[in-house]
Amino acid sequence: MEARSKELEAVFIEVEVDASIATDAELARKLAEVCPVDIFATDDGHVAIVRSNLDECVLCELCLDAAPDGTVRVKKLYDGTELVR
Amino acid sequence: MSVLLSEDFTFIVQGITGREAVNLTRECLDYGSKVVGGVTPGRKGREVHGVPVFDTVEQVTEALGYVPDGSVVTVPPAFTKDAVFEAIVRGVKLVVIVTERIPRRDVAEMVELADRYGARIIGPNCLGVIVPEVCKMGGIGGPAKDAAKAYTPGAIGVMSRSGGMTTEISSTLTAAGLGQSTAISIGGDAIIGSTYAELMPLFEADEQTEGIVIYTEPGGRMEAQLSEWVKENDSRLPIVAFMAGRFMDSEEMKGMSFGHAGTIVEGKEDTATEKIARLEAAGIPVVERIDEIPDAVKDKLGAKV
Repeated sequence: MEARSKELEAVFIEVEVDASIATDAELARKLAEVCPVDIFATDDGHVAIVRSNLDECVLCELCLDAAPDGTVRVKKLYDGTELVR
Repeated sequence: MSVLLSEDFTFIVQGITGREAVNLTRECLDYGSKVVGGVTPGRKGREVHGVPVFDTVEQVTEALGYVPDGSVVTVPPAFTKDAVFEAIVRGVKLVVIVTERIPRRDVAEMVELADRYGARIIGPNCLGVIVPEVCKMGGIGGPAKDAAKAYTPGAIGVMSRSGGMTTEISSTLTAAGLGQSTAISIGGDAIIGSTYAELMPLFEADEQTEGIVIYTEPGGRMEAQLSEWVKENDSRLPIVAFMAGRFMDSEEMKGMSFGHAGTIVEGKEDTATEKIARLEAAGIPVVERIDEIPDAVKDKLGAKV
């Protein structure tokens, strides 16, 4: 059952975080705060992606606003396009 | 002119950091609406698309130095009553409640409080209000570029129990060259803040509005109240209605669920057939298809002249 759940995660949305910000504790906290559907979390000062929430993304772009340009990419797997600043 | 909203209308979004609210806020800002603040307890100091977030409505009014004209409430059902009470008690005069599945008793209490404070509630379970090219309050019409296509300025007031159908009907009117003065998604629940009959006086007093289109469904007494209001007040406004859910009156379909919570048919008076008869007796034609609406409106406007 758990394996099947994992298969169904991130069917529509993938989020990529650039390595240059992955260890920025302050940014990790900020991303966790702005995301309305809790895709971002902090993990020991690192930016963590909560994969089970990826498909909850509402494309609000608040994560793109919060992070330095080009460091967060929201990929729309259903049409091959992506959101990035 | 228009009803409920104007160019200078300011409003806040309660629950602004939530999943629906963040996009709704952006859509309203893109449309040119004046979203002057947001409220989410515990999130003071944040911004959502440049809109400052506060913990309470009181903090918003203190920071602004004035009470905003309206509030869009999009908080979870269990907290909606508190949010609406807070806005009304702080002096907000127009509250659009987007949230659905709010307990009926809570809604009744909100409507009672609004009445006491001279405030108006639109919804719950609605998409809001739009005055084309002036202001959009709520998710009505979707993203600004889509709302701009569907809604154009004009003389027809639109009221609908369905949020989506508010846009569908307005888009059909727009395609036929009939713009809208104001379109209101009144909400699909059994108890709502403002019914057709309660909103009619506003349209009646609005010089821009020359006709009304309503979207109706089986269930409830709102259409009967509208029919009575039209007859008692000798309304100057021709009205055209579109009734969905006629199929529910057939023997095979009886008891079938039909979307909104407000469509629970509790008696003969609530059926589509009975409603159509009442509306037509009040001089309100009820069309069978959406694409028949523009011609019916033009017929009524022509007959008036």
